[in-house]
Amino acid sequence: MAKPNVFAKMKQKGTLFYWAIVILPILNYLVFFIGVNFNSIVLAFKDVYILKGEKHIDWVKFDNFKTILRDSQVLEYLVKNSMMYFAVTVCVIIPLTLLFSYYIFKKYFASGFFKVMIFMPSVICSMVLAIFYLNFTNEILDKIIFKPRIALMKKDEYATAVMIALFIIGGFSSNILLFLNAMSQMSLSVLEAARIDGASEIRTFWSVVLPSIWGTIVEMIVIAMAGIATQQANLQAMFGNEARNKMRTVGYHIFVSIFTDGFESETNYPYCSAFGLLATLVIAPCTLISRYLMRKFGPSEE
Amino acid sequence: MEKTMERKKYKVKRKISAYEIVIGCVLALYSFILIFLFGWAFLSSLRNHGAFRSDALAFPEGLKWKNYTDVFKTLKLSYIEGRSKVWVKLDTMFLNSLIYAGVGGLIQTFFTAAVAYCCARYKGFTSSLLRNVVIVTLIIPVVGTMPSLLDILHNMKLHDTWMGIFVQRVSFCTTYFLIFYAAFGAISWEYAESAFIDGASHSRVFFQIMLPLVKTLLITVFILLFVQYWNDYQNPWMLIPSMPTAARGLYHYLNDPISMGMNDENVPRQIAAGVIIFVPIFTIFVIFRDKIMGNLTEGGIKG
Repeated sequence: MAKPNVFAKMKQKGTLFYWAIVILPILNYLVFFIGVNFNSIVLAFKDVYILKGEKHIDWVKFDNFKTILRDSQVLEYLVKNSMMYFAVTVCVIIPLTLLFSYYIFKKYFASGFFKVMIFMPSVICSMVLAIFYLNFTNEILDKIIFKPRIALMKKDEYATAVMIALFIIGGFSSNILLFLNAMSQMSLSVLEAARIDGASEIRTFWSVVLPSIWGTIVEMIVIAMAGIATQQANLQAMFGNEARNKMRTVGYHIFVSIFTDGFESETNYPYCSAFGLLATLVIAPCTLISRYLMRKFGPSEE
Repeated sequence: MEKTMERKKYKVKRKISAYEIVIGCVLALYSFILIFLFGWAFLSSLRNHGAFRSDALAFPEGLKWKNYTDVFKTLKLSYIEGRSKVWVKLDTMFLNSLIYAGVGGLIQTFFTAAVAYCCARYKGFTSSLLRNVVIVTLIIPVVGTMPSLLDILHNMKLHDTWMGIFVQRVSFCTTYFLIFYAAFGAISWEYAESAFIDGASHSRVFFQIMLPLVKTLLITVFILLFVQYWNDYQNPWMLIPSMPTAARGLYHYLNDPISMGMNDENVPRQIAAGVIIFVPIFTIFVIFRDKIMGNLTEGGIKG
């Protein structure tokens, strides 16, 4: 009796097809996620320098971390600004997006048009938005509306306000579809019951809509929290690599630290990796704990 | 009669609720700001620098497209190859953008869908492991890995090559995986079983039956990825410096005009450059807005 052909059996079960599909993505994950993150941790404890045209690498223990913590003034600005943008997201952007989403969900006046307008900034390159907005600020706000000219972008306090306004203008679009999806899955009978009971719009929103989509709200806050240290808040688009320290965020600082005199330099990799590792060690547990607490103690649909 | 009156009164009350008025006004103001900003930018791009400087709010004297032709002549980036400086013009940058966004988007859409299909339809240890890997990767924030990525790409001799970009797109750890996973999970397996009885292979079932069933979702995810990559200027800047994309060219046009041989700051020309980069993606948005803004849910496309 002939032995069963293993190859044919695998083909019949789909094992060959399965592995033909997943093998490349798995390799990609191993190299570009596991490998990159492992290498990032290793780099954080190294020093890379060029001597007589040759690259040298030394182990420097915690020196990169000490360098980061030594410059406490800059660190303070970075943390303060990153937290500020996070606060703007949680206190302004997410609540307003929720209110806008509910307006569109209820199909009030011109809701289709407003949906397109809110979503539009997300498909526009941040550079394009920055060019339009920067020139609008310099040429109209600064020259025509504020008289005498106050050089908005030259003064830190005004420039920060201008950047926050741009951050808010472009901030609604990423969340609106998720909130609309969550609202479309709400039980219509509960909304109808609230309407029959004579509940006001605000009451319905607060007591019915909010608890129903709490899970989505938590995810939005978690995404914002996870992005604290990667948030660049359009600084790169508006200021290139030259944003002043007082305006910088952690994400922007890490990105521009890769450059020396406008050119990407391998000698800067360890410092950036150490900064990234430090930020991850602080933010990852905070994000996971917050997610757990918000899910446990948030409003329930009951 | 009284009831009808009450209903009418109720309807009137609903129409003019404070919520609707306040939020409607805020949304109208928001839309006005955006329309004004884009309208003003377009009109400004048609003016000459001197006239713009003297009155930034005035209308253009006529439709003058000189700034646009100037952008095509002046927007260029250089890189060093050997000992010589090589210039890349805007038309090549557009081609690079098309390759970066188009091919990258296609590869990522295909592999995300394919792995999601395998996980949803071929249950087992590997499938559940892969699904959990996606969820964990999405939840845990990782910061500052660009230097490490550059280091690895340099070591693998993949830095500054299209291959280096495209191998990174053979990934599946995105939110779209979960959407595809739910979509394939919701499709009846009877289609596949009938095909197997007729002698179809697993790959044929996937390519000729399952993928066409999620065609709308595939197109939506591809468009979203295309838009994302078209607008991306930081990754092409870092990973393919000698193949600049249009978005990266625009970045340097605004922040580093001297490198392009321009020593004057011409605001209308800068704005015209922004409009040129904006138009293709805006056209895609207008054509596919229903697909892009369709309800992309974990169950596929709704509505």
